[in-house]
Amino acid sequence: MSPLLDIRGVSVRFGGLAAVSDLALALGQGEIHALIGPNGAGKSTVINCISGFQPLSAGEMRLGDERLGQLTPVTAARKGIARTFQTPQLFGRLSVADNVRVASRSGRTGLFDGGELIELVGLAGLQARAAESLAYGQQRLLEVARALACAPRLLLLDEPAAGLAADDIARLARLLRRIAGELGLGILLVEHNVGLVKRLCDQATVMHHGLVIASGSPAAVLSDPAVVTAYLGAQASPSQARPC
Amino acid sequence: MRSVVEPLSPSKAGAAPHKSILARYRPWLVALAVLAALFAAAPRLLSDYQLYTLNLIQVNILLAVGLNLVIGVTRQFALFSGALLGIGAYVAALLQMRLGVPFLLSLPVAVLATMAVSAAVSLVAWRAGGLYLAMITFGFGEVFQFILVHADAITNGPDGLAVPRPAFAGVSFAAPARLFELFLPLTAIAVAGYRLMETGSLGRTMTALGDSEIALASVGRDPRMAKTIAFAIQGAYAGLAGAMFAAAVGFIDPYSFGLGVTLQQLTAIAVGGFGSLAGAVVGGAVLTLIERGVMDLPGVREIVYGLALLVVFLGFPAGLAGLFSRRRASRPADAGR
Amino acid sequence: MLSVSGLTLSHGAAVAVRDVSFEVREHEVTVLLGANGAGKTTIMMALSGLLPVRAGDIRLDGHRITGAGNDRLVGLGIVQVPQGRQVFPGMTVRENLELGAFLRRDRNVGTDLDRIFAHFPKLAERTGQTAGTLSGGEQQMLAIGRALMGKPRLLLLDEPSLGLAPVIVDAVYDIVAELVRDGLTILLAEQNVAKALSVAARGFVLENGTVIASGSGAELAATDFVHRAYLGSSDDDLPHDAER
Repeated sequence: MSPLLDIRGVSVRFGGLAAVSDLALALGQGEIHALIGPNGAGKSTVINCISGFQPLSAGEMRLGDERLGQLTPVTAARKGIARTFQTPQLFGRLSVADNVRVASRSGRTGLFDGGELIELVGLAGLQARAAESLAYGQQRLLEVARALACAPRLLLLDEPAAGLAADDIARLARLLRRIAGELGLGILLVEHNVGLVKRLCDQATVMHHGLVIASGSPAAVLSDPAVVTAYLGAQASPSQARPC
Repeated sequence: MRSVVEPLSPSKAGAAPHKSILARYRPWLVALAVLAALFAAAPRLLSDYQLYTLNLIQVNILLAVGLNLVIGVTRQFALFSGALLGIGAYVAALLQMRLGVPFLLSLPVAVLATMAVSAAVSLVAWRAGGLYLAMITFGFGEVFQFILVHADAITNGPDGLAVPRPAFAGVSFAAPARLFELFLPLTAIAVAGYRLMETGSLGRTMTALGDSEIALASVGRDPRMAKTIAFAIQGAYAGLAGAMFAAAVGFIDPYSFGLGVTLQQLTAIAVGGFGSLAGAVVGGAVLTLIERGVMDLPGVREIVYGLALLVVFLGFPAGLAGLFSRRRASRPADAGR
Repeated sequence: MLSVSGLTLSHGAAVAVRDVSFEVREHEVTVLLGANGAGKTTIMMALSGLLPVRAGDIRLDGHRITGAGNDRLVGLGIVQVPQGRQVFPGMTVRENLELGAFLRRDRNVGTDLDRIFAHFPKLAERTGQTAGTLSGGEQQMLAIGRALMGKPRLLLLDEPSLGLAPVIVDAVYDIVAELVRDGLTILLAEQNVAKALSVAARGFVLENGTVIASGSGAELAATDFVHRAYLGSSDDDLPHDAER
């Protein structure tokens, strides 16, 4: 069986700068895959490529059996690729409930109904609040709910836990584990919370200066000396978890 | 991989208690009653001049409602309201004068024609945003005016057109009172239609477009299509307003449809409160009254507009509509949650 | 140095912070902990004069500064580093830093630039580069550097670790510790509880806009909130948290 997402030889150049070089990455159904690395390593660019926001300079991507040609954000979304953004991009004047409603398409069965999604990410009771009035962490959670409302096959999350408190991270982790397990979604997430990556993810790929420097199980990858130097820092011994 | 899957917690049956039907439709019923009273009383009680002003108020309300959708809600900075009003006015007038089409039939054609032009201009907004869109639509307005002036074989150029007084099936609508009776239901239906659109899924998409194009695309909704729909709706409102304007004033010339109209409308929706339907209605009415009030004092109009903008922006940035919604919001609803 | 009593703040009609009192002592780090939407950023905004105070009292060295505007507070030495590294992306590193000295009348800006560059050697290498091209970590350094150019007595740091790689988080916190050693006073809002407590002398925990715990770092470590934050990062199974 072919993987849900298969990326081969993908490169992105901005002028003379290679933001991503010759990236290969495969993601199976129901798999949660972390993309980690220092700031500026090219992780968000990868998310942008898969979701059609960034054209590739070279390489190819497949979603299931389908070759993804030149994607636009709209076509990517319609093929079942949903995403969140590093800086939350919400519909600020709309209520929390309406943010999710804009995304849920009739005619396609959602995973959960909108109200349920809002509860699952931990925003119960805030349905009527304007999205722009939410705290930063709550905005991130709403973005996750909105992405799930698209009923995606592949979910791309750009730093979903940034700015979240421990309780919210735990709830989010349970939700992601559950949708991957029950519904077979593939999830690719960019994340700096190493503790979360270790607990949640099946696979991890580490990027540095646009290149993959390690990939494999999170535990193995996070004890790789190259990763420790470039990303974790000298003082963080690999066995020691960084609290959220 | 450890299983952490738990059964779904039953979703809470916490739906808001249903309001009674009467309570739910109360705003609509109140509006209907006010309109009915206005419809019955105004033609008897008001002078021709006052009724004429009421007719112009309706024209400006329709124009403001359309512009508010594009600028206030979807935040596409399109500055060609004047041209759209002119298209509606000239299409309606020329159909009546050159082809003998009755007024009531010329209305829907004017609406469709203006919609089509506005939708076509939206293709520019597919690529250009912000200042570029503003400049391109401004340029479109200038070109449109230039054409009106120079295509004098059709438009009678700068001398303008004396528009025939509308008549239908032998009934003349020449008197301002008769026009008022014709306009009020049209305006009411148009504004009510906007309200339905605004509170439905299309309205959500329109607000979403104004808040984040990127996010809209990311959930599979095409921002370009949303823009075209917004422009087309603006065109429909402006086209109707234009046809009504030609009938109400009885004379149109190229200079009635320039940037001045656009700026007046922009002031109207700013004073009323960007994005708010009530604001567009109130703003359109207030601005018409200001214009009528200082018509004979050259230059005063601009000063009054400027002052109105200053007062609104410094005093209540959410516009006149913000005054009402603020009062509503400060009820002790779910404060502190 | 700074004392806040009975502070109540609201966003529009919704009360976000209710009757909060706390103190910030000189030459130490005080940390504000709490879940998303607890009111941390709201308090920061009010302390820097960007949000009106609905009720309560803010005093700096005993003088009432409640309701003072942002410019006056900066003049008094209270400078905020806002959440999300808000640098001026089109301006160079040097220009960003010089803007931080905007309100100052003295002529020692040059010396101060040197002082900042000593703290942030990475910025010294990039004085002519536009801020938008810096990595996330460098932008955070620049934002702190810009605030320091205002010669603050009290620095308000809102989530400095947000979206940063672990190695960069360490670097940022090294600098925070260094600044306090040099005599600066810092009020810190942070989700990275472990990092925050590693530098904070004392702090308090917010929940739903009120203070539910306060004390020294050790006292805070005994609270439920902090306990859960550490628990949430353990290598064990995803934790069970109390459903709301």
